[in-house]
Amino acid sequence: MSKADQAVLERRIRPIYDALDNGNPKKAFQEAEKILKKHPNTVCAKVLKALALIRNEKLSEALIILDALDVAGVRHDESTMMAFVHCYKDADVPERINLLYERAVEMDPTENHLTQLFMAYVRTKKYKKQQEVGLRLFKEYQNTPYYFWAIMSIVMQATENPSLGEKMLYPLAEKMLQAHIQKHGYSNGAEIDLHTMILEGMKKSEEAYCLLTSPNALNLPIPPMFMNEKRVQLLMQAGRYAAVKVLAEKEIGEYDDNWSMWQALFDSSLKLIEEAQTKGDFTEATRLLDEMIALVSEHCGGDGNAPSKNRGPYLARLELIKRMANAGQPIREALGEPVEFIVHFVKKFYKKPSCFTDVKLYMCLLNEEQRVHLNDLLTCFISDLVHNEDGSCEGEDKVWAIIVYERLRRITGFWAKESPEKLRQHVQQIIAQIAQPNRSELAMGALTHLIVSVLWEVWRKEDDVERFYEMILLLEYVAAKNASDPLSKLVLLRAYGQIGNTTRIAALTKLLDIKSVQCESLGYLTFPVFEAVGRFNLAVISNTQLSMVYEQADKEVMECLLGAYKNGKFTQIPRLVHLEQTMKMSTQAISCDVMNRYLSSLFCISDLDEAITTMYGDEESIDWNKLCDNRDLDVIPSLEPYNYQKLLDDMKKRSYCEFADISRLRHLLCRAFAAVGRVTRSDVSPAKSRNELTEYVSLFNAHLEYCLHEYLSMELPSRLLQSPTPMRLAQWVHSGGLQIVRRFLQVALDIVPLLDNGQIPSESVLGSAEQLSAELKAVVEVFPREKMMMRPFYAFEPICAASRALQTLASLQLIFRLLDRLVCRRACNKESSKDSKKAGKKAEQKGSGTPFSERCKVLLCEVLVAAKTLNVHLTELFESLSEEEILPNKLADDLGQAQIVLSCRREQVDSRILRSYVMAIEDMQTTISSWI
Amino acid sequence: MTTIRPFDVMDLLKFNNVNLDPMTETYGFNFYLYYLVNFPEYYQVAEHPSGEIMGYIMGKAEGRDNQWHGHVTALSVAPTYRRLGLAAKMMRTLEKISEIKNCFFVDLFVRVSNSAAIGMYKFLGYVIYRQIIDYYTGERDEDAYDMRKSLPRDVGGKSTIPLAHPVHARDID
Repeated sequence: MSKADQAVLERRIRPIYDALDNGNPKKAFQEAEKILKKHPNTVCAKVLKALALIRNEKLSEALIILDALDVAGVRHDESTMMAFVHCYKDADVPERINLLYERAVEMDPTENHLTQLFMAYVRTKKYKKQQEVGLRLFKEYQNTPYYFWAIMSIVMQATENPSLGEKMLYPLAEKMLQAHIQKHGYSNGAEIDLHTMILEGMKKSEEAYCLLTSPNALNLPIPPMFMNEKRVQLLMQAGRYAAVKVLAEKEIGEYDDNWSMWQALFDSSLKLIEEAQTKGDFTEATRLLDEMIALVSEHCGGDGNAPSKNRGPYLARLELIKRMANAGQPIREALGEPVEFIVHFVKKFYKKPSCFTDVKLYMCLLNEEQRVHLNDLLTCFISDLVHNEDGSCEGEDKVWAIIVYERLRRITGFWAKESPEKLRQHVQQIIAQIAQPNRSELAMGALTHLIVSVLWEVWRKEDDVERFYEMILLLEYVAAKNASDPLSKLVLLRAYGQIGNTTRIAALTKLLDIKSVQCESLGYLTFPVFEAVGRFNLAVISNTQLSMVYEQADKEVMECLLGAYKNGKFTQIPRLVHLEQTMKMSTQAISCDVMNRYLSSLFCISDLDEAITTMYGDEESIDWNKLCDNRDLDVIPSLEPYNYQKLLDDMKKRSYCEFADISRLRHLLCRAFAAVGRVTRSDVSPAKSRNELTEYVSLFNAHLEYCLHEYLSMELPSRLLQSPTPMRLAQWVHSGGLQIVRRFLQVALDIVPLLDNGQIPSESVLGSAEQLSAELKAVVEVFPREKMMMRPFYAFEPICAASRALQTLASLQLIFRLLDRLVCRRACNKESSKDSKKAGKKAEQKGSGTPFSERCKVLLCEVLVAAKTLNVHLTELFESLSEEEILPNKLADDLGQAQIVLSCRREQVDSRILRSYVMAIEDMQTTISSWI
Repeated sequence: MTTIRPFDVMDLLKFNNVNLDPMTETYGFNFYLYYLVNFPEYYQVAEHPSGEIMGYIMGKAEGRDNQWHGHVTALSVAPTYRRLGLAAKMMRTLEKISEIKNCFFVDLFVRVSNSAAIGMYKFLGYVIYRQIIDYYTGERDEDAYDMRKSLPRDVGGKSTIPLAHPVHARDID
């Protein structure tokens, strides 16, 4: 194509691209049609029409166009090629890009086509093919970077297959690189990066170290600090502990706050001590130990040296004690007393907000007696400080001293030993401190954290909802006054997730500006809330937005991966591949997709075929054992005693299992439903559809059984402050709804062989209307009649139960429609696809009078009767709602002036909670109204 | 006690304690990864012994001839780890790498209302080179100061002589 022709084409297709860029695929489709009317042979417009269809979620129509155009032996101009690439990226079929450029290279092996083919292989991780194309590019165009692309492709094969990597691939990569260096030397950082990586892969740490200390590496634009760290790492791997020690001592001499160098010093010295002890050279071992102690002591002001102003050396001496203990080395007296070191550290650094986080690491060194001693010493210190009138510690500094003192007392268990009255006094005093005028936002946040830890624990252990409510009121007060502190808002998200305050949850998420990658690590705070309270439309909207984040992330990470090859930043490539995999296998991403398929098929899609397609989802199967847990569950720090860590670890494990199990259950339910629908689809082979039905119904059954066994009915969701918002799997599987659904999935499984043998199943296999009615009665009975049982926030549980009941009713409606259609169509031997919809409909009409079909309709009526009953219960619940009934009446009578602080935002908080419950009820009633 | 180390892609999943601060913007993946792929030497993370991220800095080298300079794109320290001199430490490393890259100066943009940051940059030797009108847009439109510090290559500190008049955001490179 000439340049002029290309310009004409570009001008012509511009309106399509504009519409696509503006997120308007419908307009793009119209623009494409307009061009094709005038210029029917414009291939690029046809491809862009396919792209518009893909973005309109009409993938199959788009693929028909693409399949017709993307064939062997046809040349396409660059614009069209790029349009194809966009299509295949959006349709998530990157392998088609490989084929596209393989064909293009066959016809025109230009540099551009070969480069694009290389990048296509990068996208699909075809490392071997990358290597071939990279070498071909180098041979044909003699451009050095192509040679490095080929070598890097070999390195990636080695990371994929370590045993082959060790034997063959790394040596090959090194040989190729050496050949290049012998001819041209090291001309820039890319070669050194690549060579270091290869040597590390071959475990030639010593050689890698030499390379990084050679004159070639000296001019690399790498901060000296990073370079030294890398050198230390390589020396350690090479077992050159004495050299590590020397380098670490030198670095510490220059900057004694460098934690990694203290670590390197201790690692290397301990190794040397171990070696000396093995040889029986105890004099040398003692000398090495003394040297370590002397160095630490010197930086801490020992032997007349000036004490360091940095935290490093003071923490290093605590670290040394910890290391010696962990290494099984006898703790020598010369090391000193950890209690005294901790107190010394606190006295020196209490004004720094990080003081507590620093010393917290070493509280494990103390036994009970030492904790008591620490408490005594700190109490003296704080008492002196508070009563000191010389002005050396005033205002904010004094508050930080109190903060670190109280935090330490809390994690060492002294708060737990205090009487409830004393604890209330603490709460009262701290609230007074929070409310002080001119209190800095940072200190306010730290003080609030202390109160949160007390009130949350009382609620967790004693189910004291009044304290829980106090905490919410305090947090709302702080959140309003303190714009910069995220903690109050994060804890509010947690608290509202426990009681279903969805309106405030949405607002807080916006206030915290949780977006992009944070959705992945913090999604657990909000993910289940809308589904739990029956606000299904909102759940679908929020999940759709989240899905877009993942789609965008995938594209962006991939583009950066390509950029890393282009820029010769080879060390980043394995890490970018790792990130891409981590995001792809993210449990949050998979769960989000699954929940969207589930809820939208049940509540948003009326067309049965569309519901089947949505429920089925992507063809790819999910490897549930390989999913990644990227939840940042430490975002709210803990102030609990050291034994709390066990609870935290257990919670992380259990809550992750529940996260994966509930999503798996939803996924299998969707697939089982879709399998029933796919039996009569002409686009699925009969053998495949029958296999799928057997497979998914049995997998669903097995997983449901597992969940029933694993998640007991009495089990309550974890209530740790750091726990994710509850998924409520136990409540779901024991609600009875899934068991009813399972019964009808089994019916589908049983009747398909009958239908295949030409028999019409009896309606009795569906059971009677009375049976279903009785089963559903229990499911929709969600509102506790006994007012006596009502506690504050009581509406939340019945709302959740109603949401589960609605999901059951929607599932049953869908399965009855599917069963009815299955029997009607199979009885008339008609299978449906988009093309034969009419035929299918005809068959359904023909079979609609059969007893089986009539029973399906009767059962559907029973579902609607149950829905009406649920509606009545929801109305009763709605009528029972009032601030007096639903919220705690008493508020901090014993907190004196602090009560005023808590009352500040009470009215607003109360009305928001109430409003959330009202909206949940209204949303569910709207869903029911749409059925009746 | 801090480890200053190169940024790693997995830090994106761990930096909430830094980025939940309302003054710190969270961008898309491509923003962070673009800097990682193009300017890894400018991308530093400060890590606490507990493994928590204390803060990070990202930047780049850009410009031509005597405008060849290091630029600070983002600098953020988690609230818990403030007052430790971390920002200054990371800034000095960024200056060092700009020196290695033979830059004339280092520059950065800061909200005119962010007096704490402006004070710190002045303490580190930065001067207000010019005011940029409407540099920040969005919920809070605001002017920025373009602050600069000369590096040894800029003999006589020519690049940091303040401009007499503010410039509009649309008129800057």
